Amino acid sequence: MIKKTSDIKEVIEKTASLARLSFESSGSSRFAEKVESVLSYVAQLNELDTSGIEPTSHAVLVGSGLREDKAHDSGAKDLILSAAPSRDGPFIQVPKVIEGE
Amino acid sequence: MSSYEAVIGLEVHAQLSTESKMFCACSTSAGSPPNTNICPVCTGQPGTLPVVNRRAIEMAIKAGLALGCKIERRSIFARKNYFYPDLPKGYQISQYEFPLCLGGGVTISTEGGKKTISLIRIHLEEDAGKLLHDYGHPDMSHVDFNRCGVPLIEIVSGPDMRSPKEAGDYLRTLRNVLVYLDVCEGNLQEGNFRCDANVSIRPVGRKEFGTRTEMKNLNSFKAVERSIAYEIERQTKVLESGGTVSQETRLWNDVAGRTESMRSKEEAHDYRYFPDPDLLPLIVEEDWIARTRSGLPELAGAKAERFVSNYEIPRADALVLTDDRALADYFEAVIASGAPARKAANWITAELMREIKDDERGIAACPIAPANLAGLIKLIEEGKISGKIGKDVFEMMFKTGRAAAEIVAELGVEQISDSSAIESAVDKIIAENPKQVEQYRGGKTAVLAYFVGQVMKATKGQANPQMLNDILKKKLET
Repeated sequence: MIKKTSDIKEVIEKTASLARLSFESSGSSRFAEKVESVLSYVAQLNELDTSGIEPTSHAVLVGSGLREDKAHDSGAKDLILSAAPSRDGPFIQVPKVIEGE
Repeated sequence: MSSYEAVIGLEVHAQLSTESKMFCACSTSAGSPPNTNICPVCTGQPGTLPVVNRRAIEMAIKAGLALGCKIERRSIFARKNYFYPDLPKGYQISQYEFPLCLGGGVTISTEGGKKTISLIRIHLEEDAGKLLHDYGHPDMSHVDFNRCGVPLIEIVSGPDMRSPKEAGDYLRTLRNVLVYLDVCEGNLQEGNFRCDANVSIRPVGRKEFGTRTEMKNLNSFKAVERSIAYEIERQTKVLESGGTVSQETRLWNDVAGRTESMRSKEEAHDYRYFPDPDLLPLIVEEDWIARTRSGLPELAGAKAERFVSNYEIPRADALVLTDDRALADYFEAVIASGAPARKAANWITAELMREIKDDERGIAACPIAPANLAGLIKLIEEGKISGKIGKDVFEMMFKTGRAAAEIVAELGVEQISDSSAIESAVDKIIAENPKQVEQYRGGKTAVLAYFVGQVMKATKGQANPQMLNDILKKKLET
């Protein structure tokens, strides 16, 4: 459970970096206050005893619908590719990214 | 070296052989031009929704049942979040806390007898796209989304293997099960059956695991075994020189024959898994599981038993033949073309397997059609060619893919089974060797071999040996 504002600032900074978001240094204190109030509001739920209750991942209680395994062309290929900022022939082109660097 | 023991676990990604992708109707065809099998769903366009492919689920259930897993009635799709250009949605749909299959195992044969490698889980997920580096531009990567959303199962083993050989055997057995089930093509080179290996070492007798490294880029069974052997040795050297093994991902360099650090980030991956709000829980009803179970094909073990009882071939041969479904099918096709089962088993396990043993394609690398092998066996059975010449003909068949009769006719090596032809050759030899005839008739019957050799020489080895023996004896004894 996150308690201190400094912890929250750390969480915000980490989340921002994972989400590739950036803001000015003052931003993290500003968000910290807001996030802290949201978290403490939601934290009231922790007072409930939920042992023995299955985790709920969805509010709807039915199972997923399934589709048959039939392939067909979407016809949207060109439209999708035209939205790419950079292309080379049939490829989408991106700045080189090697994992770990 | 001997004071350490290796602990190996494997993560296998097997591509399910569906026609369409996991969550959309795009084709899974591997041969399509780049970025042709794409749609708003698999490229992550806003407002689109994934819909689960029934057949993919069924294939995963099949795999789970055949591997002795417990099939979960309810499993949950989760988002694994990370940014990489091969992942247009910014997350991969996978299963995390609640996978489709739990438990199970794969039994392998070791020197110490049978050993079951436990499975922790099998879960469903979608593949990512493909990145091509150094494709025309040094600072750019090229992205192909065709593979994005192709259905995979990830099969996670327990840390139960203790040697590279055990890991290789586990992987081969697992592959064979999936290929038998027709749920995966099982081709490592083509990437529809991929493996990452987790390796650590610990002093013999210690219970706690050492720090493990994860190896990637293992594109063949040999690469899996070699990389694990290399890594065990590397970690042993590190520990013996007083160092510590660092937990990291390493890439196998097949050419250099070593694993290399990927210079991993300090920060561990943080995927922030959470249930995918776009997908409802996957519910698998009991009767679906039951129907799938009753539709499971004959697996290797059962097939081997059937070969022993139906075809009366030795168990050792049956085990070799059923080790690979394609090989077992080949064997049965040779029999269907009229060859006696035992002969067919002999030719396949001895001659044919020797030719293909170093080829990872297995029987697919054999250019001899089953009917042609049956044809060769028939020529020998009918006495048209000798068994010895049959082996030469086999080699030529393997090189050229041509039919046995064609090669035999061309070489003129057809066996002489015409009794009058053999008789005249025998008469000639007997007339030329009165001394040996006398010896034979005087009780020195071992001299028969001399006559056989002389006639064979005269007929260029083409006399039918059984007929030659009979005729010789008859003539010498009267």
